[in-house]
This record gives sequence, C-alpha cells and structure tokens, in this order.
Amino acid sequence: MGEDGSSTGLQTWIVEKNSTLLIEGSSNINQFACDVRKYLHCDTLTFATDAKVKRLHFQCRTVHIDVSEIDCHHKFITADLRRTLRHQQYPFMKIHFVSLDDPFAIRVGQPLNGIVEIELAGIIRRVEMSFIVKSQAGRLFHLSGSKNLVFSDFNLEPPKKLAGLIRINEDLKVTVQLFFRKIG
Amino acid sequence: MKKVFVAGFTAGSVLLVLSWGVIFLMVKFFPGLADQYWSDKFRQAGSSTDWMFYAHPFVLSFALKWFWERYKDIFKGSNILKAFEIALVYGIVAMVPVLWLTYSNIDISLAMVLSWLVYGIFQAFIAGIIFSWLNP
Repeated sequence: MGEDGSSTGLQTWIVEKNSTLLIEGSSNINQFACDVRKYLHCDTLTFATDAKVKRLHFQCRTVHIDVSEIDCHHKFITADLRRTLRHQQYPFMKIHFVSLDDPFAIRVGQPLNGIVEIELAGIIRRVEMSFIVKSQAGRLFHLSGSKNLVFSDFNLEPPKKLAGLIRINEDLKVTVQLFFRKIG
Repeated sequence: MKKVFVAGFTAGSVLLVLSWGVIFLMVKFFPGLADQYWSDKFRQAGSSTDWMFYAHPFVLSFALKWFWERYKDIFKGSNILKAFEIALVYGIVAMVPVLWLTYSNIDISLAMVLSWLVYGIFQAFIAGIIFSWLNP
C-alpha cells in the first residue's frame, strides 16, 4: 500500500528453480566460493505496488535457501561452513523481502534498491541490498543482488583450526541470482 | 632444579614463538599443506583443548631437558653438533614410530606426516642449542 493509499492489487512472483546463491569469503590461506545451485523450493512472493513511488511492498516475502546444499568445492570448508551456520538446527537461510524498487519501472541493467531481512542461524538482520535487473522477457525476469556481510552480524564464529592460527576471515560477500516468473 | 626450570621455560618460550612462525610460513609457502588442517580430523579452535596446543612447546622442552640432563655426556663436539644429535635421536626414537602408527590409522597425507617429522626434529634442534648453551 502506498503512503497516499495508491496501490495496485496484489501481485505474485514465483521464484524459479534455477535461482542461485553465491557466498565468497577467504581464509588466511586462500579464497573460497560456496554456492547453492539446487534451489529446490518453490517460494512465492506476493506484494502490492506503490504506484506513486514505483516500489513494491511484500506480504508473502520469503526465499528459502537450503544450507545443507551449500558447496564450497572444498569438502572440509564445506563441512566447516555448514557446521558454523548450524545447518542441523537452522536448515534454511532465508531472505525476507521487505520492499523493492519496481523492476518493471526501470530498464535492464539499471540498479534498484531493496530492503531485505537476511535470516541466518536463527538471527535476522535487516539490510539494504542493491540489485540489478539482468534480464526481462515477458513474465520472466532475473535480478542479481549482492551484499557484504560479516559472520558476527549473525552472532557466528568463523571456523578456525590450530588454536585459531588457521582461520576463515570475518567478511563474506553474498550474491543472489533470482529468477522470477510473474503469475499475477 | 632452578636451572631445569630456567632452561625448560626458555626453550618452551622460544619454541612457542617458533611454532607461530612456522605456521605462518606454512600458510604462506605451503598453502596446500595448511589447507589440509580444515579436515574435520582436527578440532575446531575455541574448544577446551586450545591451551594444550600452546602448552606443547613446554611439554616438549621439559621432556627434552630431562633427556639432555641424563644423556648429555654421550654427545660430543660443538653445541650445534650436540643439538643436531639430540634432534636426530628425538626424531628417530620418539617421532618416527608414533608418526608411523599415526599414518597407518588416520587418514592424513604423507606430506603432513613428513612435515610433522621435520618440524619435530627442528624443534628438538632449537631446544638442544638452548640446553647446550645454558647447561653444557
């Protein structure tokens, strides 16, 4: 609903299965990149468009990412990272969309801003996230967004070995490639 | 007794600093080897056993000090030669059998086991130099 009460009806996007998540980080030994290529959930986002400011306000708003599908292409770091993210207790990383500039109101390649809540290991942090519309074709469109995070934002301790002399650094860059299909 | 403690703590302190230096060099020059420590065969830091890692140079130096006091008369030559000899004895008698057993039962690489052998001999050599200098 817009501030002046102007809004279109509720619209719905389905998150397509080819959506992906990339987590880039480093240790004091080298760099690593972890991805989730199997997006097995069929999340649906529902929102109202504030026509005046061309902004979407989400009501059904959560994208679920299965933490046990995180693959760092290094079996030990994969296991350590999943353990750090407490995947058995919190199997999903969740991205809750709060609001987003209307991607259909701008051209492909242009940036748009969104507010999302990232939920990791049971801790939720609200952040501003910048997205780019990578493509639009009919009812399908592709958003790419990234955000720099630190483990401590989520009260997490990065993995360490040898009494901390071998360690994963605090900083992470999280990039999501979200493919949506408009259904209403 | 006092000289045992002085030599033991001196050697332990030097070995502790060296252990940080050696790990730093391993990360810099042998990243493939350092990477193997991510294995879940190694404990996460922050556990209740961290102190044991930092205490290990002192355990080693006091053990070697006992050995030094008991057998130093059979080592001949310069301080360097004596240190080299005690290091070699330690490597062959204490480390090789244990590492042999370790490699046969734990899924770690040969490179890692050999690095421990070289590191252990190096530690004993440094301790030997300190002992032969403080308590010839």
